[in-house]
Amino acid sequence: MSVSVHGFFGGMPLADHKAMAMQRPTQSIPVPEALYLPLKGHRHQPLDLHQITDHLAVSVGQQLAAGQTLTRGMGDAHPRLHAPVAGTFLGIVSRPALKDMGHDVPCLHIQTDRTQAPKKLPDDYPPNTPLPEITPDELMDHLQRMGIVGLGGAQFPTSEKMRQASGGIDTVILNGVECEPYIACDEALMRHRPGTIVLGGRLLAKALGAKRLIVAVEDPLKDSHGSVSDGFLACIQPHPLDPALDIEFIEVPSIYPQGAERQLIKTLTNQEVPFDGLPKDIGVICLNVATAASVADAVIENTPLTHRLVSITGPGIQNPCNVYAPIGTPVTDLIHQAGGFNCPESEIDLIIGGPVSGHTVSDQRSPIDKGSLCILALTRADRPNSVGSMPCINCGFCVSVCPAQLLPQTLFKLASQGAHEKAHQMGMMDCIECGLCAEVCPSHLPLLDWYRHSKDQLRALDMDQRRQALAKERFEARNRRLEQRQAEREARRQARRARLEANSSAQSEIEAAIARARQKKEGES
Amino acid sequence: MIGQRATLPHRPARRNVSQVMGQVLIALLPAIAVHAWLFGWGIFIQLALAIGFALSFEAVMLQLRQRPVGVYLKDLSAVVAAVLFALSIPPLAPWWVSGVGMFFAIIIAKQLYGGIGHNLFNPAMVGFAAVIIAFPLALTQWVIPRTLAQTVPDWNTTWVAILQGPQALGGTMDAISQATPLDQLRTGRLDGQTLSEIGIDPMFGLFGASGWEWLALAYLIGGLYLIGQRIITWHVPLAVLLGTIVITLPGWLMDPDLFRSPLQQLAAGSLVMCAFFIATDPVSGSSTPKGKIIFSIGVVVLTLVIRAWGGFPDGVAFAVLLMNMFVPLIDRYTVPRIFGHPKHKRDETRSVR
Repeated sequence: MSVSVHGFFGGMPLADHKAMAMQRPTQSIPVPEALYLPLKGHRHQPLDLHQITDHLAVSVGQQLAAGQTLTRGMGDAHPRLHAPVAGTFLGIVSRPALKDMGHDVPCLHIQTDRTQAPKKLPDDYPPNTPLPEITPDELMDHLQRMGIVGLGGAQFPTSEKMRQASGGIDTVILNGVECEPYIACDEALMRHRPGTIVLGGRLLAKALGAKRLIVAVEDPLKDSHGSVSDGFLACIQPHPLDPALDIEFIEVPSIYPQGAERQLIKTLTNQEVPFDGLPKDIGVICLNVATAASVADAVIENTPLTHRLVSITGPGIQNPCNVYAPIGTPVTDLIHQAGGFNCPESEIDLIIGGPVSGHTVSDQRSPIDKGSLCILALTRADRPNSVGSMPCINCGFCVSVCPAQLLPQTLFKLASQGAHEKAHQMGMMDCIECGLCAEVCPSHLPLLDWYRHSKDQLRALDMDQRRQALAKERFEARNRRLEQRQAEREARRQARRARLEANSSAQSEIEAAIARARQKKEGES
Repeated sequence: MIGQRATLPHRPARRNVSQVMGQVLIALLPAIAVHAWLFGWGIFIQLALAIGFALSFEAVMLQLRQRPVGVYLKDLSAVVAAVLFALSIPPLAPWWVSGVGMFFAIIIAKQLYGGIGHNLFNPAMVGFAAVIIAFPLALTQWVIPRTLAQTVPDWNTTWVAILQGPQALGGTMDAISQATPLDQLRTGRLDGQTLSEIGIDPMFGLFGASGWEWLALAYLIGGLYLIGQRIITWHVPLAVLLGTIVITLPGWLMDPDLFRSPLQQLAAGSLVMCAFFIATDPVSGSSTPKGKIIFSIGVVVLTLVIRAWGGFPDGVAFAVLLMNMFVPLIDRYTVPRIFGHPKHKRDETRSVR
């Protein structure tokens, strides 16, 4: 069976700048002095401190071995963390959050043992590597124990994603499409470890009962080293473990945001994931190639997820490259590894993620997490001329590029007026935050910032409503309980009264008792 | 400390508002050139007057509204409105026509509604509607195009007519000017003539309006350039042009004596200009693709109705202004289907996830 490539509405080709980070070999970073592992589940699920301390698997001052479990038992929503390297656990400290400018995030502080050698990007597995027999449930439990999460940025626990999807999955898509300019960490991985990625995909496909495995990459990923397809094509021959699995390697057009899950699925299957559903609703599950590789590592080598590839790139970086770094490494160490900035820091715009949808990094002490793909340094020359923004002229450029088929200019007007509920009706929550609208806006409006703000407001509003609903439910339950108790009391009173009335006269009963007592007394004396 | 900028995007947008408006001005150059060839120097003086008035009014209003004058003058939106207005009025119209037109376009229609991006009505058309009501006579005295007169008014005549008014020229004005084809058609019909009787006049040329067809062609070329530059989408122009043809074709086929040909409808008035430059005004037009088509069809229908039964020879300005009023309603009922949503809207409870 062959997959034909369709397309999605909107989108725009962007200059990729990927060669910048690819020009140097992938590097490993000397063990940083200290690591700070951010304690944050996937987006919008912050943890509170007592929740963390309840689930720490280590105590302050404890010596840690590389790969030792640090947190456990917080359920699928909060993946486990492991010590990337050997060291000492120093406790929980606050560090500036990488994405939420001005906010702090609690982190596990590890003082590292700097005598150890840095961990290198593991070699690729040969395509015929025997895969262990493992049941789907065992695999999901194992992935949860190994702290495997989606490495494309969302950090959703892979085990949870699989549990949600189990049954009815026909196709597993491995997403190797890095749509944003500059980001090249997945490309580096695909060049070095195609066999590992395909093995991970096989394990996932087998556990989910899928019949097809699709590896999707962008079509122009060709350079002097050849296309990434060469590596993949060499390792997609049938495997004894799953001879029936249909593996395909697809090159999709490089149109931003091709790498967004729903857009990629539309391109490959010509089906739209329902707005209120998940890819599993149309029989598809989509995982990042790096996630698949970490699944293979977890199963074959029993390695927890402790390191990831990060692109340190941009025109402001001296030696742009991809770095294999421990989770929790501060941004400043990564930049140091890439030779530092090539111009004064005041000229630099430091960004986590890509240039279109990334977030400004306000503090270089921020540590990276499992979803950090790229540290990008743009210089003042790349910055929009600071004319500020003009009013919206309704030109509609945003409408023609919006892959979610929204009316961005209308959403902007509603959001900036504070009419978030109305924006919600117009599909605010369907925005995938690709940032293309702001990219093409001739009025230079910070559209994505407005949408993120509006979405936060809507989530807060929703949380409020749910809290209110819960409070109402509790209040009503209490009323019911009180009424019931009242009714029971009333019933008992009624019963007693009835009993008393049934006895001929209570008074005579009492008199009789007194008489008996008197007789007894007289008898004694 | 690193430069603090939370706002996205982190890269320069490919275009800014001035560049968008600049592209529109470039697209109008062929029309200006053809206009000058057909009618002489007049258009250049009219452009200078309209742009001068527009920028002065804009500057004064921005000052009064305490907005940065330089930034908003540089966006060129006032210049675009002025150029469209200048192209719409007769080349020998006296200077106060531009003054009054730009007063209504810039001060009333644009700045009093909140400036660029906030006007409900197309400024150039508000200006044009104001002057056609205020100076009906001056607005019908068009110079005889070069295709008929073999010549155009010289610089001196043009200068005197515009600065001192048509009276200063005395009889010369009558010699060099005539009604537009559309005007001629209207008065002819009112006199009870059939279209074929009226059409004998050489002023109607091959395609329904001698000289004017070249102007329509120039607008078409400029408009296609705008589509090529992705400044405008195909929705409005196609809906206006195709709408005109589809609506007028059956009548013309049935009785060409009673109904004008689609080609004449397009060539003899400002419908082609409207298709690419007027109805495409983003601010006062519809936001949605479907809405743009409905808006355009509405403009076409109203224009044709005004041409057939109205009190003015051409109806584009009034049609556009009337349809501007319907934009909020059109936008409300033409919201496109969002990615991942069912084709037919059912009662959805939207969840926040």
